Amino acid sequence: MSTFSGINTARRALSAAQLGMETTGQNIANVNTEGYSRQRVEQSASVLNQTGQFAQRFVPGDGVSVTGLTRVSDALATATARQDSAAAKEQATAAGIWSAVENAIGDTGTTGLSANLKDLSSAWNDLASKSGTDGLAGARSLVVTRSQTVVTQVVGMNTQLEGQYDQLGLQAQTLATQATTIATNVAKLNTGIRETLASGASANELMDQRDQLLNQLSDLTGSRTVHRDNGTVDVLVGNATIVTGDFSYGLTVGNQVSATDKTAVDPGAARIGNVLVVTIGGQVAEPVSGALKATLDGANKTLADQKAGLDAFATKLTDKVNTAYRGTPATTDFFVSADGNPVTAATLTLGVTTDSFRDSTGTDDNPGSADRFYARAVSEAFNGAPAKPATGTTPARDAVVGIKDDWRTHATNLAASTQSAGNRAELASQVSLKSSAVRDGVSGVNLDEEMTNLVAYQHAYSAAAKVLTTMDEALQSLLNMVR
Amino acid sequence: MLGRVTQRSIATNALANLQNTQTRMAKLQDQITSGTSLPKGSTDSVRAAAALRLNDQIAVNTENGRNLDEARAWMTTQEPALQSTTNALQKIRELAVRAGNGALNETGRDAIAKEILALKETILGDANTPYQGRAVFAGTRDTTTAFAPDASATAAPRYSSSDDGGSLLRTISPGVTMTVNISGDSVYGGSITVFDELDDLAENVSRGNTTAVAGALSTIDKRITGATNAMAVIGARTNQLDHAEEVNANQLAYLEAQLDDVQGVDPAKAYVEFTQQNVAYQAALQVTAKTVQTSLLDFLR
Repeated sequence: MSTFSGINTARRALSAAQLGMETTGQNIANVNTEGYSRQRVEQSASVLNQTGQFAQRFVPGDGVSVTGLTRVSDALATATARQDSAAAKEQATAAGIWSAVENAIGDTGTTGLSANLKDLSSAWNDLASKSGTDGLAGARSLVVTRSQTVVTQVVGMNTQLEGQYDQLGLQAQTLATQATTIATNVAKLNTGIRETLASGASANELMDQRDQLLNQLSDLTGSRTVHRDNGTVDVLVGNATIVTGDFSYGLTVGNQVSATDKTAVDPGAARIGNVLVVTIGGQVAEPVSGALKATLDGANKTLADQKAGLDAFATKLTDKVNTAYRGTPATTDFFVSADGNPVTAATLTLGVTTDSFRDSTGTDDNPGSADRFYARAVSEAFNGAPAKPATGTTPARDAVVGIKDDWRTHATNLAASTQSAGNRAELASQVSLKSSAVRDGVSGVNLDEEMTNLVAYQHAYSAAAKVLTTMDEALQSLLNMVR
Repeated sequence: MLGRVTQRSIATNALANLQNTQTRMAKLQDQITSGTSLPKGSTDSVRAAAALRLNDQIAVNTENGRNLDEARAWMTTQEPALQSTTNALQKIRELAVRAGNGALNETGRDAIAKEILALKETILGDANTPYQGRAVFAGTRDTTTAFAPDASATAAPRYSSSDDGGSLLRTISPGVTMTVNISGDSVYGGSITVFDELDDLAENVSRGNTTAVAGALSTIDKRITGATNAMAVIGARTNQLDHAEEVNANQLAYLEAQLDDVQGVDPAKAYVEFTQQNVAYQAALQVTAKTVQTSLLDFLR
């Protein structure tokens, strides 16, 4: 135990307290920094390790030693928050896609296609009850104009869906580019962290940055992170590796003809029904969650289903009107396909003009053409009719499902799907909020705590300084004895 | 609550909660200002399905309402014509009875014959009653005359009928149709038309052929029966229309009330809810202002 060891103890106490104050300062400075994890000074009492013949019996330790600078974070809380956030992002994106579809073809009865179908049905009905020649031309032309309106709207809705498909393709490209950039930066940080840790220094801030990037990457693709011993991480999207150690791979988005036919399609020529795929370094990757997955699902599934529904409605409209209109002798069809193939929402068009279509049996040359037989039949095809039991000699009749019923079914399904997509998004965002609150609870900075720590370190510093002064005075007294 | 609370987590939670309250307030405000609680199908898909169905049903109801009006117009066009025909036939019958007793001189018989011919023209006018540019008694044809004299014919039948015997149908409720026209042939036509019969009668009267005139009485009676029967049919159909119109109007009122329930806004209820949300929002703002502001710093010196 030397005379000067007390001074050394005080010095170590001073520097420990100072490091404490600096760390507290760093925490306070980053109280509002996104993704910052608070740090804590780890210190322990230093024990004087003495052996041999000069060992003294009653000696205090020789002060305090700083053993490390811990980054306070909980791996489980971080992983959960990351996963929930990716799920929330996916559901929010999906809800956005559904909402756009609803805006394009949704219906509440007063707006949308159902209003035009009602107008058309009403025009057919008025034509059906047109008795003579007064106003007949007007009634006929109303049927043709309103049919044209319905055709235009169906074709327009199809065009809007195709437009959304293109948008989603672009969105997927953008997201893939973002993910590629992030992956590059993660790889760079991996290098930085590995080298910093190898030199024995603290890489806490770099790790915070990397965690932030990993959160973003997970929000995009639902990526999975595997930690390695040297401090680096590997990142996987589905089963494809996007970051391994110091290296990263790019994400690319492409179109192929269908799920089975992998022939590539030029992005400009892609239509609903083609499939958007993501590849990482040439290998097909399937995002697990996140915005990119929602975008792919939206293009490959949601829009494909909606277009199929719209096509099915166009087919039903065509079949039902034509069947009612065709009669005997068969005449030209009322609705036809523009390209000769079976009718779809894109190719629906009118096969008649104001002059060429007929509403009654017989021909115009032969008077006897005011019974409006066909007009009434088409009107019923729109409205449908309830089933009727047999009465007397009249045979029983099955219920007729009207064209308006067909559209209503589709519109109702769309409303239900959009609503549940919205509900899922809301729920997922609540869950994500809670789990990121748990993570922030562990890693976030509490100012009260930091202030308390600051006061404690300040006191420790003052006291250590006092110890130093006292030691100094004692030594002074000793030195003054010698004259 | 969570294990550890920080200033930032308080702020985040406070923001999220304020956001939620504001969203609810915006929803209510939207309802009150737009007057509909169903701006989009996804707001409530169950109510949206009901709104779509009710809107379609109201449209069908309106269509049928117009068809009922149309059918009623047919009734009110045909009934006076048939009534006038019946009156004219009865008058002719009286004239024929007077002419049949043989007590009249030639001048008197000629006067009666002329009157019969004049009444025949009245009946011919009735038989060609127009509606919407066509003759009502011509079946399903849109010709302007149902019965016309054939100028080239020298012997009976001198009149031809355009009635094709077809039924004009109007849909009066979903899947239910009603015949609106009376067959012209059943009243005015037959193997020979009533006009040929009346021409013959007038000729027999002016010739003083009392046997033939007496024989014609049964023919006129048959015509009168035909016309009154047709009027009875119209009466029955009018009753059916009255009933159908009442049902249709009641149903429309019911459907519209339902639709209002589904997509309408109860302003009082919405306003009370809005006030409640507003109070909650104010409270949340105050509490947040207090908690976010304070920290240990306020008490250290």
